[in-house]
Amino acid sequence: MSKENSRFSWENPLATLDTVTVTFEGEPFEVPAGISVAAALLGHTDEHFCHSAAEDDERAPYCLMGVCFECLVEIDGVQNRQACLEPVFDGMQVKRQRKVGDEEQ
Amino acid sequence: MKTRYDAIVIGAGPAGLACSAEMAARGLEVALLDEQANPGGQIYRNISKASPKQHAILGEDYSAGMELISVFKEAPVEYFPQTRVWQAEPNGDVFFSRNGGSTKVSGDYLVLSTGAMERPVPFPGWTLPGVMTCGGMSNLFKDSSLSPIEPVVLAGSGPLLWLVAEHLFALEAPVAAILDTTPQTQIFPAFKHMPRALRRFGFLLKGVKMIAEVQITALKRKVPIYRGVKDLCAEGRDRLERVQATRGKKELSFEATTLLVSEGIIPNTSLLRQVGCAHTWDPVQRFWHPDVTVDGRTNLPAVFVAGDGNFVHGAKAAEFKGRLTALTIALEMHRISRTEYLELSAPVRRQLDRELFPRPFIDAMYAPRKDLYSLADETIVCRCEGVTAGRIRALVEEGYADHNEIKAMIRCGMGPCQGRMCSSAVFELIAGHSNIPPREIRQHRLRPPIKPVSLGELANANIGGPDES
Ligand code: FES
Repeated sequence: MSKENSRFSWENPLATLDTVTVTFEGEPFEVPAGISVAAALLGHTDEHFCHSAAEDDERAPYCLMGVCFECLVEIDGVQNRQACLEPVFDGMQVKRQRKVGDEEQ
Repeated sequence: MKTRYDAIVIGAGPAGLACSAEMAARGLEVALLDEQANPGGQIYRNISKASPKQHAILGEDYSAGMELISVFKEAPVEYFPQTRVWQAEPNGDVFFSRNGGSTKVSGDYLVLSTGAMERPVPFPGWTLPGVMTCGGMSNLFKDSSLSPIEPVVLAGSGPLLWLVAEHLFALEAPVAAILDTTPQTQIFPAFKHMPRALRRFGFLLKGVKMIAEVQITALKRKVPIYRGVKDLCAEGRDRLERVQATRGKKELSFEATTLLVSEGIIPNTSLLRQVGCAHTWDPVQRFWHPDVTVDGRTNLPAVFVAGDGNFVHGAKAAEFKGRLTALTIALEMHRISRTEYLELSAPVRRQLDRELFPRPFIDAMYAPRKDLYSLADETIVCRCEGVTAGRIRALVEEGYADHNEIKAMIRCGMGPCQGRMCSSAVFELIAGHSNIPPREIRQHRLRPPIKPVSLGELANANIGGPDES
């Protein structure tokens, strides 16, 4: 349940909040309940979320309101989820989207 | 959920909340569909769940939304959060994705209250992780109480820049610099709108006071504020490491892991364009907005638009526009008489007028600066497909003046965001490098589905089945 280096921190200590466990790229960690997946990942790590469609550049959330599509992740096997619009739930498995815009199988 | 409603409202910001509650109060059967998990839109995001500390930091303009939410919660509106509308039709059909499945629902009337978004302005390095919008930072805090603990630079022009600076100071975030890109000459043309704006003196004063307080705090904490900043540039290998810019002859450079940008707010018209609302180009604000009357009517008889999605006027105005739209639809559906309509709408119109007094001043003061889209050839414009300004400009110079054509040739606008992030800049490149008057340039079209839907979901879509409520 380590906290990697993130540029952000929660205003309130996690111990004082209801939390859920989210797994990102196989690593589980605790986040406040009820927040967005984008916030959960940003609060935990500085890692990118996905790669740009054409150039394979690393990308991370830009708008946090559903318009830029730079936060696409795979949630429980389903690709193309906008992390800034999805709330976390306990046990959620999040993965970096392999290639943005890929159709699901 | 039923398959048919009197009215379907899309977007649960101030306009959508006020509109749906008012229609329900007049006896209409109303469904409200929204992307987020909680009502409030961007401005009142997460308001019903926010902690006392969040309220304290976000201030009274945020907490003002509580009343709207409580009226909404009392109203018999069927509310569907976490619902992505991917297609709407002029006849009132709406297709959406929810809980992993797609469904169709129909309304006699549609109210599109999809709000506003930050104006996407490309600059070198804006695709690096660590570069975000000011509104995005604000959303992170409202949603999740996240606050930066590493150096952050704010850059741009407009009230939102100062508002977010105020919040970050209150959170004791390590602000490295505030870079104001408003041209210093811009204040003069704004002055002719001052007399009208002064009719809302208190409102203006509040804004001035906020900026002054940010400046005082910045001085105390030794955070530099630069005015008239140009040549903003984000640098770093895989993520942001440094922000550079110029101020006159001076070169500025700041180490930072977060850069928050804001260059104004524009209507979020993606769904409006998809459904076929007619739009007009505003030469001062330099954005497209739908042609909407004060009572919310568009060129499509069953489709109404309310709130900042019609023209950016702020949260309070959006609420009033939502109520006026609701009353108009109630009148059309004969739920209120002409006399009742006039009686009920007159005070709302007065409130709306009052709300709009200061807008021409603020709009002129923070109008997009002339060189906003003077983009260097190498600057990426289409983030998804990595298309640069130079490639777009070359096509415009060859005579291509339609984003839809340009997209077909170089994929600009073809990625996951479907042109939401590049269409403003592509439009400006066409306007700046062709001889066509802006209002005659064709807008970028969005084709449904305008939100990601998997093929499997489309194949299993329940779009015409029996009532399953
Ligand atoms: S961060 Fe822009 S769509 Fe999610």
